[in-house]
Amino acid sequence: MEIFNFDILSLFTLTNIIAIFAGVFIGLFIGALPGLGASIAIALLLPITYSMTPLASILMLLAIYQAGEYGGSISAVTIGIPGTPSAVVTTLDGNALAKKSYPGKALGYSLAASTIGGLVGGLVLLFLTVPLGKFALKLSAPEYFLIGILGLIAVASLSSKDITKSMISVVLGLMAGTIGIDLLSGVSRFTFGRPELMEGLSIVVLVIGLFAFSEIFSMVNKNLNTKYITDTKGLKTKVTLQEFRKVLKPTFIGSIMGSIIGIMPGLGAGASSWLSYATAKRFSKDPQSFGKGNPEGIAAPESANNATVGSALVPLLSLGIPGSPTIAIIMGAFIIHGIQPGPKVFATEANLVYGIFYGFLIITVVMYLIGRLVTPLFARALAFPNSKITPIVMVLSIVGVFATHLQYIQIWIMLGIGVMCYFLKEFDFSLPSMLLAFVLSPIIEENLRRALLLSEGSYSIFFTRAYSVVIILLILAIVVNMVFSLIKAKRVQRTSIPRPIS
Amino acid sequence: MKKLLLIFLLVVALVGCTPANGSSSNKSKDGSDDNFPSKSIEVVVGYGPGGASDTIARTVATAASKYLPNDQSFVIKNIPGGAGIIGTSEVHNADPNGYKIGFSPSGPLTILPHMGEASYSLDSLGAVIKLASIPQMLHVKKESPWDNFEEWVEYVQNNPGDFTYSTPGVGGEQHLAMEALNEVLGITTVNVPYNSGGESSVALIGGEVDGSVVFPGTVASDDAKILFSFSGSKEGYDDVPTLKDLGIDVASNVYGGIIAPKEVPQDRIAIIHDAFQKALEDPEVIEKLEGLGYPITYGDSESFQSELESDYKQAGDLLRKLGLVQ
Amino acid sequence: MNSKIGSIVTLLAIVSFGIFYFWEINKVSSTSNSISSDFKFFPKILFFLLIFLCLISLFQAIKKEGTKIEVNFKLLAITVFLLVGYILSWIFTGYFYLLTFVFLFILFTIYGERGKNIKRSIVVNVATSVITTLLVYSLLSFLSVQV
Repeated sequence: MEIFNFDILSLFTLTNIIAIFAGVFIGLFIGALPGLGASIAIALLLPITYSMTPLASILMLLAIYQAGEYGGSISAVTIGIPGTPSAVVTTLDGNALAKKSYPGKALGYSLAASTIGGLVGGLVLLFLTVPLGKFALKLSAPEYFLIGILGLIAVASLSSKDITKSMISVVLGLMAGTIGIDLLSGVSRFTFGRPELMEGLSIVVLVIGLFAFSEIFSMVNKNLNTKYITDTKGLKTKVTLQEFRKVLKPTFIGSIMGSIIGIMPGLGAGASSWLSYATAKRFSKDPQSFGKGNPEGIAAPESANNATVGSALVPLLSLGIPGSPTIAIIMGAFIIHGIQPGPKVFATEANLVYGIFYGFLIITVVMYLIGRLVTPLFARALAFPNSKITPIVMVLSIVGVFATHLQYIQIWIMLGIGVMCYFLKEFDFSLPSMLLAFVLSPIIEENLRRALLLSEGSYSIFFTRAYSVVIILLILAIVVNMVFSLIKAKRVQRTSIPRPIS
Repeated sequence: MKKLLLIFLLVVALVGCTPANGSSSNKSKDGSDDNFPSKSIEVVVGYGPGGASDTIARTVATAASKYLPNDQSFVIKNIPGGAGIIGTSEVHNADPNGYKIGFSPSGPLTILPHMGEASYSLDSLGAVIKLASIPQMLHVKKESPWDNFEEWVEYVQNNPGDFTYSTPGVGGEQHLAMEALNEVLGITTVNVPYNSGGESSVALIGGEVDGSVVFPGTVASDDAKILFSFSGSKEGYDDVPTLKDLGIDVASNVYGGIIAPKEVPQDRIAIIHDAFQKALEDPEVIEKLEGLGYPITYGDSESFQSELESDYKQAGDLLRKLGLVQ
Repeated sequence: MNSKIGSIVTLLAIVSFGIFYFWEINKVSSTSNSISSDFKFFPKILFFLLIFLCLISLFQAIKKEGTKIEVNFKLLAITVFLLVGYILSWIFTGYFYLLTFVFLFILFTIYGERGKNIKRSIVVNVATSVITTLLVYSLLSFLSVQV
């Protein structure tokens, strides 16, 4: 097989190795900082890579991306503020486990799961790029619409608290997604004449406002003088093999789902982390403990978001379209070196492509090694009392937003969203649902309308395409399952002896 | 332990301060001297790094730096957002001293000002030099039954409203070009918009649409064949007929070049123009741009400006006809 | 603050937002013959869904017993005020790093524990502000961003 013809040793040049290590370091650090995510680092460092060789520059950017996806979990676990948009889900169980005085363990689970996810993604990239690329071509607008709906239902199945309020959060998220130029009509919606809003609400701004600032206001309100990490022993990031065996299933689920979702252009790590969390919860032996510090709830999303990095390269290399917005930036590195990604690239730049495939696996291993060394350091650095963390995170968030957009208006939007979402959070609305709905909104709306455009208005397109029918059946199965479990829960409630109020 | 940490951070901070080079090296007064340029010139690109505009701008600007007097250079600044409006506005608002110019493709200059969100217009911006073209062509799948323009026209004339084609958006150059063709030929085709040229091409290869109007560089597959080009001239693609070649008086050019605030003194514009013009003859630039499919099409200030203005008018007419603007 | 009142007020705020959303999208005139080109279709559905859900939630909120929620309005208001002040001063004066240092120091002082050793906390606050500002500076220079 061609894959094995590649001379791996040629990969180990000094430039490439420095590129990988530098990338991992930068990715870890910037990913860990709340307010700055991997994509900002990649976008801002892309110009620096122009003077490097194509392979070195692409490997460095991929290393930043991969390490950043893990790095985001460091602050998610330690201070409850996700360092990257895809670490939002990790915050739920990660921070909960940290508060129980096991932050090191939580980080250990995250690192291990991220590494496994990254390796799986890398293997998918190595072996399955060509066949998967061909498969992705078969999916069309109706399927993407239905996948979006599937995503929304997964969100609904997660809310255990107030279902009505969660659904309201979902609708609010969908509404937020309608801001900007409407692709299918060219009309600007809700932009109030401001060009900055023409491309919609920025996800970076939304995540920071939704999660960083609302959490900051929570901290200001309640516990400015608490320190989360009081026990430095709890900072060891080692996870024993036995402990890891417990999270094998969610890691597996996360890696697979992350790989699948990464292949589909437009979805990205945010969606994959959420969906694998939902799936892991459904198949867990102890779903009730999700959200309270169950390591499974850390392993699933973290393996998913790292798996997405590798698999997002699949559509880029096989079709020439990026599988996630961050990969779209990395695509620039190809183009600036005169390489057009797409099926032709296998023939014209075989060495580069296989260099990327193998290099990616190496990046994942390096990430694990450096992660083990550096995470306790970062975690300890983040372990300041809230009275110090809060203003620092405020400044970092503002800096992060400004660095990404260079527009003051985005800072105001972030603040506004932060204030509103603080209150929404206080009164039991679901911010994660809002975020996922926002991400899915354009996928759902655009593809529905495009499907109808292609079918000339006929809804039968959803029932005549085999792939669509499969997804519809899947949706029905999940909905039926949800309804049954609800009924069962209500029945159990009614027949159980009322417990004394504790 | 805490102290160590603090020291660590300090070291990081100090180390971090050093590699920062790039931007304003010698901050002289705002260029009111006759020794232009006395510091580096910023070239604003209204799109993120890695796209077509950024690639063209960077390639030519790096080479053009060699031809600037006083050892100065051009520095690219990416200011993405608003489909190019934000970056272009920045050039519009810049001080007219020649230290902040921009690279823009034709879209934000000829189409977007009609839509209402742009604060600039061709009256407030001056064209300096046209650099390269981004020709748009109609692609169909290799197995499709039409081998040339005539066969395609015959099909669409007999099957109105049947032929679907993908474009990167509604009201963009590709959509408008096709609509202009529809009108001249008296046919109806259906535009299916996608988020980018890449997605549009994939939609074609995947069979979702019958055709795709995109820049050939985005179609990274052998599965497609080109029927014709919308450009006014061959522009290096010698085996692709243009509509003009086929006798149809429709042409829609997509191109990019350097713009600057209108009031920049002529002698400074000339220096910038000459540097870029020499860069266009640089063999490395030619190899890179043409290798990616962007034909180098030089145009001086006057011809660039008048081309922009006539395309602006043409776009306006089409947009009003389509009901996209009042 | 009672959670019941909070929920109700929030829900009413959401409803008014929904009405504003609906009004805003209706402002643009449109003539579309099919859903695919109708940019109002999806927003309208969302609006009706929102109102429907909010009514249900209002009903539920009124029925439920409220719990007491602690909200430190004073501190939150001061924080927001300082944030807005910081950003405005930055926009109008441009002295980003100086302002960052001052902003950090003020917040550290306000948030800090009312401890015995005032001198020590001042030193710590100044040091932390300086170091954070340096960190931000090195970050921004590394990313080649100009403030």
